[in-house]
Amino acid sequence: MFLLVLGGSFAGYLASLKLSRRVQNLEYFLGFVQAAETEIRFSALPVRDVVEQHGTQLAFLRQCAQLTREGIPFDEAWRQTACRAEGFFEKDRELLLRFGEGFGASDAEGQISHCRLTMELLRRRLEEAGEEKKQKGRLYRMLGVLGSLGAALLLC
Amino acid sequence: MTKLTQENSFSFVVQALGGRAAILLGKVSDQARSNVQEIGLRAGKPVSLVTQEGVFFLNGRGIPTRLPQRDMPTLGASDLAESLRRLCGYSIYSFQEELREGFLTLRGGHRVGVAGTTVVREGKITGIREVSSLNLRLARACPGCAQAVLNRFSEVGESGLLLAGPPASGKTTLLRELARVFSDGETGLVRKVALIDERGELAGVWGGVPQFDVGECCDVLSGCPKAEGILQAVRSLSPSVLICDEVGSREEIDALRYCLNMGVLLFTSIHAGSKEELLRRPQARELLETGAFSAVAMLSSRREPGTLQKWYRAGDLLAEMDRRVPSCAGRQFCRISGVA
Repeated sequence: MFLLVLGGSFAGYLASLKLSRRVQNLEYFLGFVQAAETEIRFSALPVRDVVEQHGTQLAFLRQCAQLTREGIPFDEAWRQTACRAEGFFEKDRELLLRFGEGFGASDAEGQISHCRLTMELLRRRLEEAGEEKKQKGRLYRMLGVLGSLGAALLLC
Repeated sequence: MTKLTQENSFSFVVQALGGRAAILLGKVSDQARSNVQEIGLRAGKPVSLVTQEGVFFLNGRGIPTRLPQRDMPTLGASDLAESLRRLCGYSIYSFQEELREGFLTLRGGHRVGVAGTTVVREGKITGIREVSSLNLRLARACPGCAQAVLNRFSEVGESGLLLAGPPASGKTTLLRELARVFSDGETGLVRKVALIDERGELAGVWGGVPQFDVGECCDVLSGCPKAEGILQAVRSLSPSVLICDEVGSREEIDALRYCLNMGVLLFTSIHAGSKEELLRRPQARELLETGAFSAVAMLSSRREPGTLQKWYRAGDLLAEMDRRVPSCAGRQFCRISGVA
């Protein structure tokens, strides 16, 4: 019985954690795009080095850096890793892929615009994710505990 | 340093291009690769290869043919954009300045000329969008190719040497080899050489390291405008030999004069397909009048780089120029006499 309650609560907690991780990852990615914009503006650092230096907080960026080190072309490495990026929703992954398609593909002015557009979209996505986390996070945890308690009572 | 042959230069460039361009060029046989000097990629057109025998077009099996045919595979504008992105390490903005000049230099010293719709602001080209063609010029090193020129030069070499020749006659290759020979001391004395490499072709510097062997005592000013580079090198590097490619503007010639006053031996080049063309070029006259060159080596485009076609003493050429084009004062006088 105890295990059932524990398992249900844990499932609720995991669902809520997913929402928290999404917020955190979106924040990290926003930070990465901000850093990329600064690097492009002031040092014209190539994309590969931008990912290497500023992408340490996100697993998919670390993997992308690793693949480019192994000789895989940057666009291919980004595609491969962004479409499987963990801790994001599907619609977030589309945003990551869109960013990668344009990343490095134009002059500095074009890149700064590209980064700013992505940052704007990310901020909106972050607001939405924060709201979802606030509303649904507690709900999932409660559902987990109460659902498992209900199931336990029914079994008794 | 890996020996830079045409064959491995071709393979390197093909790998750097990637995508469909690499697939098409990958079919070219090793024998054909060894003759290629330039690769031309144009949107909607067959791939062209420039060799010493002329221009060839690639068919679907990777065989170069003299004339373009309708069924030959072509590359689209998106293929070219993708290749350019790859060549720039997926960071077009990092090569913005070079692209503004219309070219970029790859590792190994290979040069990529870029054509497309230019972006112009306040009358100046600020970039290129919608790339319509890429022209890849394969860098080549040719150890020993300066020997014939040096043999002649040692007979008259009290001052510098001007190399003249048509495009693809090996002027740049020869200048690079001269830098190596002087700075390695192969002429009997190690000389400090300054190489002014405005377009990154002479030394092919990549990550601060010259990709070509320019010798042990050679300082390279890369990406630097020639006139400023010449002055800076003379002021700060105290070279005994100064080498730069294609000098012609007023500022550059003035900088060479300054250089001459500092006792530096000069080697440079000028485009001229024949003696006639050379005599017609006002820049040639201005260069020879500086007194910086004791002779002009006319190179042949038909054979290996550094093949000496003719050797002219600077004084003889100047005398011939004077005979053909009378001095300005003389012309004025004749005209006035005619009116009178």
